[in-house]
Amino acid sequence: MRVLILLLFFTLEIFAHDLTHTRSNTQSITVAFAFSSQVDFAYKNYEIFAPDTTIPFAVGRTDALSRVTFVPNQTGEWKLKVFSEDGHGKVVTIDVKEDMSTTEQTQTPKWLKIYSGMLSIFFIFALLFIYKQRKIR
Amino acid sequence: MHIPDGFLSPQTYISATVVAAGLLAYSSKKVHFDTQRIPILAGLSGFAFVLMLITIPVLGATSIHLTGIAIMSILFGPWMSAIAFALVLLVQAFLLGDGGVTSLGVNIISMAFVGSFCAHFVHRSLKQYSEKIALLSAGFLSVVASAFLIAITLGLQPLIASQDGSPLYFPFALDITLVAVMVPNMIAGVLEAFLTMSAVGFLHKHFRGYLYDA
Repeated sequence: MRVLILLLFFTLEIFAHDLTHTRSNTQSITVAFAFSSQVDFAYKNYEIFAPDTTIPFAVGRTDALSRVTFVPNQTGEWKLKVFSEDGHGKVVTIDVKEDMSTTEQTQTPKWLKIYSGMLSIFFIFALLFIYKQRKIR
Repeated sequence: MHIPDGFLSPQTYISATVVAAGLLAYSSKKVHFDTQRIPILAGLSGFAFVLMLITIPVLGATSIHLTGIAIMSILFGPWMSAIAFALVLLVQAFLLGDGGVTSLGVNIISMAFVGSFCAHFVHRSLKQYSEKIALLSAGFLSVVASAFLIAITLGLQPLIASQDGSPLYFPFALDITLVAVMVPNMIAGVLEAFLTMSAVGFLHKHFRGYLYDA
């Protein structure tokens, strides 16, 4: 009987190695990165920080389509940092709402960046030109 | 090549910002903005801005861009080109969020100043032998020298700011950053070399009176 009890006790130990898992359809947040094509920031490092924390909530690599997907467990400002060995990367702030969703944010189109940047540069040089012209007069 | 926000420790970016501000203040005293030259300088600054927005994928894992810094340096002198290029970086960082605001100091020192002066000195010392070789070398080395300083700055971050052995800002050490930054930028350097040669040749031919007399 004693041997049987002992055996039963050790049988319970077997379950210590049984890693359980659950599947769910919880709402997740996906952030996609790109230079010029959809997949040029694939398999790069990332760190996700929950609001007001310094230890990462999650670390990993972007997927084959240069995306990071995570499931937040609290509201507030989450920080996602992506980086590669050559110094490329970005820190993105994600505001997570009560229902664990976030507002969709799209990148400024490149043509708009070029247009506004050129306009700003020319405006500054135009001001410099006017200032110099007036000084000469 | 721009270092984004969050990759540099405060020790690095605060000192770099102070140095960059000092260099810009000194540069502004060294240059004289001639009204005849301002329009071409504005055009070249706009050109540099667009060049830096065009990303070229290389080696299947990273991207490079050209800068146009050597063109500006050879045609307008290193001080003026450094100021104009710093303005371009400023617009990119504050207006468009390209390149970090905290890392602006490092970006200005490495690209605007190191790139400009490297191109200027290389061109000046080689042009007596061959103008073409001088232009090609200036273009190539302006990118490579800037990339080298960026690789060093990034690679030193784990030594400068770590907590319990974990890097706080940028995790890769010097041996990794030197290879990862330098190899793609050597390709960028080759492209920059040919761009510099053709652009300087064109502008010298058509706008000679409006350029810097080196």
